[in-house]
Amino acid sequence: MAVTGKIRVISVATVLALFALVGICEVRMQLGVRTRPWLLEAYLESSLADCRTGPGAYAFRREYALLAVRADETQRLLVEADHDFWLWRDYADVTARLDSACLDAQLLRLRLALRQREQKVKLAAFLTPLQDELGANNHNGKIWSRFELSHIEQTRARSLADQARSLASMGETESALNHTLRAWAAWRRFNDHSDQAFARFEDEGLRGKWEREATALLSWSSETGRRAILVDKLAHRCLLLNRGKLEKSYPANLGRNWYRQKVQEQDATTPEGQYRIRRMFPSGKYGFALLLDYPNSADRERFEDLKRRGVIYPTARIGGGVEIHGGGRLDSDWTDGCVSLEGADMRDLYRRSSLGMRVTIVGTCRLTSSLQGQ
Amino acid sequence: MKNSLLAISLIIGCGLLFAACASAPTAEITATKAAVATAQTDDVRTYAADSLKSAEDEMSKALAEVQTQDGKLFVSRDYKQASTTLKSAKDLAEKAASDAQANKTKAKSDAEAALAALPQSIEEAKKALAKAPKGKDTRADLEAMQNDLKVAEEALNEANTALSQGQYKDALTKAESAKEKASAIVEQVQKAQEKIRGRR
Repeated sequence: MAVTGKIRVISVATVLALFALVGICEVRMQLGVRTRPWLLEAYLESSLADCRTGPGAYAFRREYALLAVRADETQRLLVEADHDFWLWRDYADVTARLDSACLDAQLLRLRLALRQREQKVKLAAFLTPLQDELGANNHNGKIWSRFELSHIEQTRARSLADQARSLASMGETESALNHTLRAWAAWRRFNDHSDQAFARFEDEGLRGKWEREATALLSWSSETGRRAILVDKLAHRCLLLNRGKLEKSYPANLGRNWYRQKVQEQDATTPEGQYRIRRMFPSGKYGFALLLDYPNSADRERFEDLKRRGVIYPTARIGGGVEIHGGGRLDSDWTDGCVSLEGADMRDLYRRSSLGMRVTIVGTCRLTSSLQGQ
Repeated sequence: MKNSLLAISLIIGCGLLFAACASAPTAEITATKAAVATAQTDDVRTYAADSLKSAEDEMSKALAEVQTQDGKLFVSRDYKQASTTLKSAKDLAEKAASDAQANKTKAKSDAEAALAALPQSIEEAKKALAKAPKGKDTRADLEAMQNDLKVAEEALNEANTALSQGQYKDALTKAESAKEKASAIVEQVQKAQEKIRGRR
């Protein structure tokens, strides 16, 4: 009887003890933060890794370094808390620190993402107009934009733009942007070169001179009732005048460096000045040809002056053999300085020309458009 | 009485011990976190970003499960699912690292292959230009092709620099650009030669 009573008491006491234990655990769970914040830790590590690696991370390396220090400190506190006995282990303080670090890491991630988006926008803002500028038949308002000028900076700009486009399609935004900016720099250098080369076509003094020469030729043709040829380099036109009126107008191609004034032999420039037809060839390598009397006295005088001033070498030669001939390609300026017309046009011009006929070559003149408008 | 008190104390003590034992699989967590941290590099983000993301997501899932179990009463905790997910995350992280290595090796070998063939292409373009028909009507084209060749050589040098710096996509792009220019030169010269043969 006494034994049965003892067993009953022990059983009840055991159950009560177990309930007390469960009660203690439950109360313990409600006070403080008793479980290690694994998820927050992993989130912080992942955020820091995003800020450390990836495109544009270098720009935020200082902010990353400060966050990394905080993350290390938090990790140390977590390990310390882990070593406490489970009954009074409390992660509340370290969780608060983790929360704060995670928030700052997320903000840094957002700044990184924003920068990446800005880089993409910048890339589009630079690459699209560059492609427009480089595109064929682009008229950017510049006097030379109508012409297919060959220059290494232009080739370089096109190549870099192609590479930028290819890298952008692979998602390499930073590299694509770098290539785009280099392409713009090359394009700018090409622009500067072209602007300088063509500046003479906007020079008032030169334009006045050309206008006077063209007008004088027209007046002579009107007074004498004879034919004359006016070549307008900028317009790429060969105009046949007769009795002060336009008889025919032919598209023409010129020397490879046509936009310059001829200085010496082999400079591939079409000369400007007043000439006459010295000889006429009915057949040759380029079909019909009219040989001009370049160099004239004005050309010789300028040549000697350039030599005296040291602009050209003392051994340079003035050149010659400038013709108006056929065999023309209308797609580019290809001659060594001659004026070239398409075959049928040259045949027609040859038929209407004569020895000693006046030929005036000007850079540009308003007369061309006014004559063609007749 | 004494025996009763001893028994009760033993029961409470055992209970406390059991509570302490029912804890998270810390060693597995540490191993998985280490594997994921090893995978979080520039190379993996560049060459196996999707695999890395899968590993990170799997680890987050595992840790969420650990935290959920931590919050339960010790007698009802079960970390089996968490352990399985942790192992899966570790495997994914290791796979991301190996995928990145494989993809990087492929990118490197693609770039190297493109670059290896390039000097030959440029040499062929130089030879073609040397044999190109020379005349007044081809000089403008020859000048343009000379520019193209020079730009192709610049691209070749930049490609080599990019390759040595580990920028394989850059190197490949530049090599392809240079090859295209060199091939275009050879093609243009061949066309010009055929045109002349046709005239004859």
